[in-house]
Amino acid sequence: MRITVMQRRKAIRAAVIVVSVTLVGGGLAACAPAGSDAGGSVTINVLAEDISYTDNWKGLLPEFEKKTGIKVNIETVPYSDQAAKILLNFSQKSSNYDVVFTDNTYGTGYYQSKYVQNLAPFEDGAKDLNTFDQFYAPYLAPMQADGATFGLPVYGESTWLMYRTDLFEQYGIDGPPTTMNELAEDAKIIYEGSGGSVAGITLRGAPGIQSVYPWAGFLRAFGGDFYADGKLAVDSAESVKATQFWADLLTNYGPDGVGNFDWEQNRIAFTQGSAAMTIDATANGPFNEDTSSSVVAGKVGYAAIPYAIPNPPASGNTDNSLNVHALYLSSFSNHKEAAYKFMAWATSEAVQANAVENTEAVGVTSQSVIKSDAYAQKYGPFQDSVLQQLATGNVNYLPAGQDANAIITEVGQALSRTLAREASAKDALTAAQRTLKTQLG
Amino acid sequence: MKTRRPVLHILRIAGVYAFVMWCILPLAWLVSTSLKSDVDAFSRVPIWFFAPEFGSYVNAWVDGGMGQAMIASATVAIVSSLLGIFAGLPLAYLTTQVWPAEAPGSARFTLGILLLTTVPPVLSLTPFYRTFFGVGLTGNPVGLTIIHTFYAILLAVLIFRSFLVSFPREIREAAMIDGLGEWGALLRTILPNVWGATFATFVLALIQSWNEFLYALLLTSGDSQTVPVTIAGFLSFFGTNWARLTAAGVIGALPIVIFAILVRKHMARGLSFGGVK
Amino acid sequence: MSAPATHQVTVKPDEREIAPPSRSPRGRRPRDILSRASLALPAAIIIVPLLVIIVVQGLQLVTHGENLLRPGSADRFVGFDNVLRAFSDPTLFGSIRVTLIYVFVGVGIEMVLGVAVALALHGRVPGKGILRALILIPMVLTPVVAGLMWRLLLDPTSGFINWFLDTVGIGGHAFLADPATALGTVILVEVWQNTPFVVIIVLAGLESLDPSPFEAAQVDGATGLRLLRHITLPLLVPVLSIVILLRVIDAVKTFAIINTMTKGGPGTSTLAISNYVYRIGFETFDIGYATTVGVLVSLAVLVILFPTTTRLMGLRVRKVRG
Repeated sequence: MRITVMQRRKAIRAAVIVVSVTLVGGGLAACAPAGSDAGGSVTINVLAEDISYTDNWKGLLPEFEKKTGIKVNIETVPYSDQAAKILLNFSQKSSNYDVVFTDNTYGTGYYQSKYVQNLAPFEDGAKDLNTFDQFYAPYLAPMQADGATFGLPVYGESTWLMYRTDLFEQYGIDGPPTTMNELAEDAKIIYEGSGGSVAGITLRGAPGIQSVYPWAGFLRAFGGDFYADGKLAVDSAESVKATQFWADLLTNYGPDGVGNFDWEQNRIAFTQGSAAMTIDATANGPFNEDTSSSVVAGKVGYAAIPYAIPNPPASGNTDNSLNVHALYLSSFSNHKEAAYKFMAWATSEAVQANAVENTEAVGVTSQSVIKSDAYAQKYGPFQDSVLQQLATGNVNYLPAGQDANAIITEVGQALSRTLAREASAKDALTAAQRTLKTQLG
Repeated sequence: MKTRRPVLHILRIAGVYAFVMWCILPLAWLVSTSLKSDVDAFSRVPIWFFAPEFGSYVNAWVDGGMGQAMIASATVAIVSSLLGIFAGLPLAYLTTQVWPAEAPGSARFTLGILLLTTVPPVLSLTPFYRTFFGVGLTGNPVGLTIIHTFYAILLAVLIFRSFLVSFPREIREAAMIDGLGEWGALLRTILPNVWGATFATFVLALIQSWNEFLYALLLTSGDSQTVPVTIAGFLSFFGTNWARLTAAGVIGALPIVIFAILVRKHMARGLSFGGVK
Repeated sequence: MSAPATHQVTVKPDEREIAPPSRSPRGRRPRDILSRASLALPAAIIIVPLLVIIVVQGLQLVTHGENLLRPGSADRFVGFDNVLRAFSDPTLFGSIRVTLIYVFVGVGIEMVLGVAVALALHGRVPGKGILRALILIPMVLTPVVAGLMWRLLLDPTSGFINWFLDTVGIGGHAFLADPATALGTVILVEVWQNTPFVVIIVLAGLESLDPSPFEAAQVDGATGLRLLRHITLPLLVPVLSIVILLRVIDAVKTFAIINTMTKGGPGTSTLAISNYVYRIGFETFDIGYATTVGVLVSLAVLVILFPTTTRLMGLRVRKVRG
C-alpha cells in the first residue's frame, strides 16, 4: 500500500515536471529571437512608421536581401507610441533595433543624446546604392549638424494653405488671403455666407503635436518663436497673440469638433467639402486630388501661408515647416555596415521611383525623382507649390532636440485648453512656460 | 418573477431588447465599415447598401501581419493562462485547505492578492521593461508571458479560493492520512471537483492576456507582437487605412468573442471571483 | 486504498492509529513544512521577483530625476523632489478629479442600468439564451478596438451618430471635442463596455437566490417595487458589493479607452491618472516623475480601498487573534 502511494506520488511529481517543462519549453521555443542568424547571414531590425513608404520597402525587400545577403525585419508600432519604444531601447543601450524611422524633431534629440550615429563614415561603404548628394538638399539639411549627417530622409514636407477655389469664386473673394487679417475675413465671409454649413477654415485642434504643428505657422506668422534670446519663451507676447487669433478663428469659423481633430479628421473635413480652407502639410495634396475619396478634387488652390507681420521676414523665420522623416542608425547596433546598406538602399533613387509609381509618395527625397516626369505627371496640380514651400521651409519650425517633446506636449496642452475655453491664451501659455521651467530646469 | 400586467411585461421585454441592441449595434457598424471602401466609409450620409469588399481582411491578415500576431497572442495567452492555473491552484489550496480560510492570515493574504490587481500597469511598466531587457526577455514572447502569468496567478488564486473556501477540509485530511501528500491530495481530491472553476479561470485569463496592450507594446516586437499592438500599429500619422484597421479589429476580436460565448455558463462565477454560485 | 477515486476517501479510525505521527494534521515536521511550502513555490517564483523588481526599480526611479532623452540623468539623485513636485502639480489634481468623476459616474450608471437589465432579464424573455450571449460581446472586446470604434462612430464629420442626430432633428454635436461633453462621452463608452459585466453577475446572483422568501412575501401580498425593495435587493447585497468593488478597481486603472478616444483632451478635461502618467513618462520621457505620480496614486488608492474591500468581500481581518 505504501509503495502504491509512493509510486503515485512519484507519478504525479513526474507529471508535474513534464507539464512544466513542456510549458516552459514551449514558451522558449516560441521565443527564439525573430530572425536570429539564419544560416550565418546578418539580420537587421528596423522600427518603422506604418506608411506607404514602408509598404513600398516591404514589397522590394526580397531583391535587397538577395543582392546583399542581409536579412531585414521591419516592425511597425503605433506612431504615437513609437518614440516611447525607441527611447526605452536606446536608454538601455539596446541593440534590438539597428535602424529607426522617425521624424527629425525626435531624431535631432536622439543625435544630441548620442543614441544615433553620424553616417559619414559609412557613406563610402554603400556608394553603389546611394550617396548624400543624391538627396534634395533641403530635405537632408535637418539631419546635418557640425559637419555630421545623422539621418537619411525618406519623406519630407512643408506646410501650406489649401483653399477651395470654387467657394472663393462663389463668394466673390479674389484669390487666396495674403495676410492673416484677410484670412480671418475670408473665413468669416464663407462661414456666414453659407449660413454656417461650410466652415471658414479647419485646422488640427487635438492636443499635442497635432495642433502644435500647424499652430507653429501662426506663431511665426505673428513674428514669434519658441525661444527668445536662446531661452525658452512659449508665453511671449507674439505667442499669446498668435494663440488667441488661432483659437478665435477656430471657435468662430471652424467646424464642429475641431478641438479633437488630428491630421486624419482635418483632412477628411476638408476633402469632404466641410471647410473652405485649411493649413496643413503638403502631403495633403494627393488626398485632395484623389477623386475616389475627395469631393473637392480639382477645386483646390494651393498658396503660401499668410503673415500677420509684414512679410516675409528677413530673419528666415518663415511660417511654413520643413519636416523630414528619416532613417537613423542606432549607436548600439551590432551590424552598422549592414544597417547602413539597408538605409542607403531604402532611400535610393530606384526605390523612391518605385514608390512614386506604385504608392502615395509626394514627399520623396531623391533629387532626380522629384524632378522626374513621373513625379510631375502624378503631382502636376501642385508640384510647383510644393517645391516653392520646400525652398522657403523653416528648418527650425518646431523645437528639435532633447527638450522638443516636453515643449510640444506642454504647448499642445495649452492650445487645447485655450481652444476649449478652460483658460485664456495668456494663462494657458504662462502655465505651460512655468511647467516647462520646472521640468527642463 | 411573473408580471401579471401584460403592459409591464411587454415594456420589460422591450427594455431588454433595447439594451441588447445598444450593446451590439456599434459592433454591427464596425463590421460593416470593415467591408466598405474608404470613400463609402467616410461618406457623411451612411451608405446602407454596398458590395462587400473582403480585400481589407486579406490585407490585414497578410500584409498587416494579423496572422502572425494571432499566433503570438495565442501562444502568450495559452501558456500564461495554463501557468497561472498551475501556480494559482496550489496557492489557493494552501490558504483555504491547509490553513483554514477563517484564519486572519488567510484573509489578509487574499486581500493582498486582490490589492495587487489594483496597481496600474503604467507604474510597473518601466521597472519590468528595464529588468527584462537586462536579461534578454524583451523582443520575444517570454517576458510578456511572465507578466501575463503574474496577472493570471492573481486571477486564479481569487477564483479558486472562492471555490475552495466552502470545500470541506475533512476530505483533504483523509487524503493526508492516506499518505497522498499535499500535492497528491490537491490533484486527486480537489482538482476533480473544481474543473468548472479551472475552465472559467482559463478563459478569463486568456481574455485578459489577449486584450492587454501596454506591456505587450513595449515587451514584444516583430514576430512576437500581439494582436492589440498590431491593430493599434495601423494607426499612423498620415493616412490610416480605416477599412484595414476595422477589419483587423474584427479579426482580432473574433476568437475571443467565440470563446467567451462558448463558455458563458462559467463566466459569471469566475468573473465575480465566486461571488455568485 | 488503491481505488482511483480517492476524493471519496473516508477516514477509518484504525488507519488513523496506524498512521505515523508525521501524518497527523497538526504535524510540524520539516518535511510537512517543506511540502506545504512547495504549494506556494510556483506562484512565488513568478510573483516575488516581479514585486522585488517593482519595489527596487520603483524606488530608484522615484528618487532620481531620470529623463530618457538625457543619458546620465538616471544617476541624478533628487531625494524627495519628485514627491514635492507632485504635491504642487495642478494637472495631477485635475486628473485625480477626472478619475474620480469617471469612477463614480461610470460605475454608478453601470450598477443602476446593469441591475435594471438583470431584473428584466430574470424571468421569461423570448430568445434569452442568445441575448445572454450577445451581451457578453462588448465586455470581451479589446479596449483598443472599442475606443477606436466609438471614436469613428462619434466623428463629427463622417460619424454615424452625428448623422443620426442631425436626421432626427436633434442636431449633431462634436461630443469628444467639447470639454463640456467629452468626459461624459468617454464615460458612456465605459458604460457601454462594462454594463454587461454587471448584468451577467447580477443575473447569476438572482438565479441563485433562495426562492422561499419570495414565496412568503407573495403570500403576504407584496408585489412589484415593494418586493424588489424589501426582498430582492437586500438579498443581492453581497453580490452587488463584489460587483461594485471589482468595477471600481478596474475603472480606477482606465487607460485604453481614453487613450484611443481623446488622449486626455480637449484641454485636460478627460485626462485620467493613468493617461497623465503615460503622458509624462512616455511622451515627455520624464520617467522619474511619472513613476512618482504612479506610486503616490497607487498608494492613495490602496489606502482608500483597503477598508472598503475588507468589508465588501467579507474578509474581515480580526485585529486580535481569538
